[in-house]
Amino acid sequence: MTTGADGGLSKEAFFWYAREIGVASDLHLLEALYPEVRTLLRNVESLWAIDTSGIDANDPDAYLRGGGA
Amino acid sequence: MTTRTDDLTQLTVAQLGRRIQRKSVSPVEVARAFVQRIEQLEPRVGAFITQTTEQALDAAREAESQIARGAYKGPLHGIPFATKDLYWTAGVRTTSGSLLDADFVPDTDATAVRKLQEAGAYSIGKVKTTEFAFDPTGRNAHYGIPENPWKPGRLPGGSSAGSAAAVAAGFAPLALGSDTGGSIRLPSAFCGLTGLKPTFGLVSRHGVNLLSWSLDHAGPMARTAQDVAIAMNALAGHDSLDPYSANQPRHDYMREIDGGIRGVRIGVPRAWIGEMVRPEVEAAFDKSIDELRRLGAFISEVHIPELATANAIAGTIITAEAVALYGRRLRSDFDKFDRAVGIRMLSGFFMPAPSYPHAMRARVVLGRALKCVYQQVDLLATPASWTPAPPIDQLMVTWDGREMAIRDTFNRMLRVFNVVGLPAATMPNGFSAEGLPLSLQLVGRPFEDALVLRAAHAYQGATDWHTRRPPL
Repeated sequence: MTTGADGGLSKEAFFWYAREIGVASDLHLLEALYPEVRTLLRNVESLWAIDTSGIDANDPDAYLRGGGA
Repeated sequence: MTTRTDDLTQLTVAQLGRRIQRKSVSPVEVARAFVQRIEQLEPRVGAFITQTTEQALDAAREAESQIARGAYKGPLHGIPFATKDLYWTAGVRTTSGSLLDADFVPDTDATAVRKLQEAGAYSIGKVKTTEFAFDPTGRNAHYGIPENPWKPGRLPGGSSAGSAAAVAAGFAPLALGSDTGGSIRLPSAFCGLTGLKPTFGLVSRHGVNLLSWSLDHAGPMARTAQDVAIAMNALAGHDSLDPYSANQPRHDYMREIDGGIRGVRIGVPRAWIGEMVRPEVEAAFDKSIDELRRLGAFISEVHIPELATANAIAGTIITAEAVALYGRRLRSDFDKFDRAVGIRMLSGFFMPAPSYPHAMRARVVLGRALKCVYQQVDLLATPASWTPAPPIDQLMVTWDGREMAIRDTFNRMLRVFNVVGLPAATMPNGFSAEGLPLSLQLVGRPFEDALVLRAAHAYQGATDWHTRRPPL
């Protein structure tokens, strides 16, 4: 149910969830939103290949600022 | 077509400034020339949301009076600029390209607007942005898409589409843009201009409506690196009203601009670039690198595998921060959004929660990798875009064997430098077979914006791409 034929989020599961969280219910909007969300989830999934163990998100290297900021 | 020196609207800020200082032309004559050109060509170009002609003429008269009294302020005195409609302008509506803010009239100016005004410049009007600056094409369903002055039917690039179209069309020699993932540099590239995304924190964003608080940058767009440097002398500096503003010593961006680039080390991430550019873009880029070498730079190839992660990091951060900023309005007023923008923002509600903090940590990994590279080089060089301006109606492209929205491909060599906040400028470096501008990007270390501009100026001293004007 949650997984489509290609292994990604199924349309049925997406429609159900979108209605559940109250973000969208209109069918045309859901149809347009579905591929955007699929793209976003693929994008986000690729992030997990990056090893961030031991990293503090507030590290100044996040912005490479030269100091004094 | 090259510069026509008898037409004031075709001159650079530096050229106009010299004439105003010498009193061979008056600020009012300058203003009238630009107003007349706007009247003639704006119906074709469509750069503006709100024109402020009367205020501009008043400001020009005031500048003329000040200069006559001997109170000359410098090279921006009496110079008009176009203001992206994301910047607050006191008493003038600031729509952010949205119907939701169509009637918003700020009572103060954005700090950047104020600083240009204090240097003697004045706004000639508010120019188009994609809604809330969230689209790199320049499209806007509410206010329309500006024409690319180089070729009808081509994208101007965005989100600072009106800024680029206005300067390229000769409506102003300078514009304010903003850049969250390339929104100054891409339209500058598509419209044959020079644009700088300054170091994060260097130019105040106070009064510039946010899209993504950790990626947004404010900065100038003009025809030349020299003009950008002139603008930076006014714009750069600490602002207590912007919590992300950097407290750096004041810098004169013009002082060393003629210093050349002999001995400057420039790294080229060839493997990363090679995967994604058209042959004519690559050929122009290679010629640019040859020119930089001829000017005395040391060129080397650099390998930065972490660059491959930058788009995923940037995409995650921008979507998460945008939906956090606009989520309430998306829920209550979705029908008032530009549908394309609204749908992309809405997708942020479906992002798994750990993604954002993970992306914020991943940007540190990317930052550290680049920090290592900048121990070996002083600048990085890439093309600005894999393609010149595509047709307005082209929505999809085959990328890596997959059909993708073309808008998702434009900023691949640009937004990495938003993620790590480095200063990055794009500048024209050739023309396609169809007569469309191609563009080079140079990227420096934090707060070495002056070196970026010096290198760009050296390149423009040896080439004439920046002197060409669209055939309007």
